[in-house]
Amino acid sequence: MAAKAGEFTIPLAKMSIKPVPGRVDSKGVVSSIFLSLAMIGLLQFGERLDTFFFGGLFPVSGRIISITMIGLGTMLYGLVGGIIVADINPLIATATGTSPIAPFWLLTNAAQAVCAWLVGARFKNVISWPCVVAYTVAASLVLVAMYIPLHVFYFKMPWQKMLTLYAFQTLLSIPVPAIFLRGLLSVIRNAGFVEE
Amino acid sequence: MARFLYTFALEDRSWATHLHPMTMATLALSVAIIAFSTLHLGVMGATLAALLLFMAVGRLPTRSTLAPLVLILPLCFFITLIQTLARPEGIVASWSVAGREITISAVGFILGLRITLRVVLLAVVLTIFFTVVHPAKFTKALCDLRVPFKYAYSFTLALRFLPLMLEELATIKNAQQSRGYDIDQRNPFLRVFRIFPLMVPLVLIALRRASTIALALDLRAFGARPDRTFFVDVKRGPLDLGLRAVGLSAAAVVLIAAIAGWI
Repeated sequence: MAAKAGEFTIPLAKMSIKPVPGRVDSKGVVSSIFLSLAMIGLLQFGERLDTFFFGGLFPVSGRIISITMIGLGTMLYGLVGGIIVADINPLIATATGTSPIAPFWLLTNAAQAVCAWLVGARFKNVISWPCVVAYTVAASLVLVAMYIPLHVFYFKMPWQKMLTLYAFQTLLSIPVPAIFLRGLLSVIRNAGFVEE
Repeated sequence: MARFLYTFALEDRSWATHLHPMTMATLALSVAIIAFSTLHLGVMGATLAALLLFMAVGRLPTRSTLAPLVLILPLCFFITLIQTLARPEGIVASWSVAGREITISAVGFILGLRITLRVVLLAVVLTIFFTVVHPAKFTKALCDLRVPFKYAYSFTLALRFLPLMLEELATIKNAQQSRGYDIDQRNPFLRVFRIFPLMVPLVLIALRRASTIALALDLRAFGARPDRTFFVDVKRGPLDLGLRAVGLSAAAVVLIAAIAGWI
């Protein structure tokens, strides 16, 4: 779809190719893998902090980084690219022994990619505040909805008593990733990496 | 950066590394089903004993296989703490702090320990999986399951380039530090906001490098022929079938017993 005069449209957000499967040529797949590796590197900082505070039970920094990077991957390369960004991380984290419980993120990370696809496909221009905020709101709410069953069935946690922690997580995971994602998309566009 | 667990599989020093990757996946799935079905100490203890026996018989490296368990200790501590403080039943002590009653529950403490055992079970089986499964064999096994090679290969590709990206991240961090930026010296609450100056150059470098590698792959006709050849082969032997049968049977028995309320 042609963009309005003066407005930039990232492919895959009303899009020169369909968001599902998205860009699945060698460049799309390899770029998604590298974004995932960048996410793994950045998570080294975030996870240390999360482990220090709640033993990783209520990740805040990790969630901010994952929402940002998975959103970026999906908005640049479509759903398949987003799922590659999302799901390489848990596998690598387990294979390197850095987080033995990482396989549980396979579902939560994939859900973020689905949110980014659903939201991104509804906006003409993903480099816009409404789009990134809608995505971070959707991703945060879906994550809370997925973490409560995980905490209830797997950890047998009394979730009613942890609503404050969920609220704190969500409070941070909406605005911060939105700012990060908007900034990253702008930088990538300005650096000339976006191909229409 | 932790040592890759699969280094052991590359060294090929155990019969366990010759097992079919899907056999190990089946065993991991079976243990996951058992762990999610019940918190019965006997069942979980027996499963853990079976895994440790597998490690001993397969001569897996104990230190590197069990080392990741240290990482889940903080998680288990917080789970046990929350259970102990939040459970309303089995209160053994209580006192009032700033008008709020703090209670210690023995039931919660025991439950926390059981959940810790569940987490340990899953962690051990996954660590064993990645210790004995060769990434190239894993890719081949996925291709045999009709997963397109491009996606099956992505895990191997990621493992191969991970050290490179971590090196890039260290370089970026050093470069930013030389400009007066230091992520480690700040308030830990604000540290997450200070990731952005690392994130931007890292993402740009990642995309630039990905462009070059994708071009190189395309020039070598990556994915041009659907009938790929592999330098490794995976075969199912009688041991594979036996282990799969044992794993799935055990999982089925535990699942049925849990549903019936026997355990």
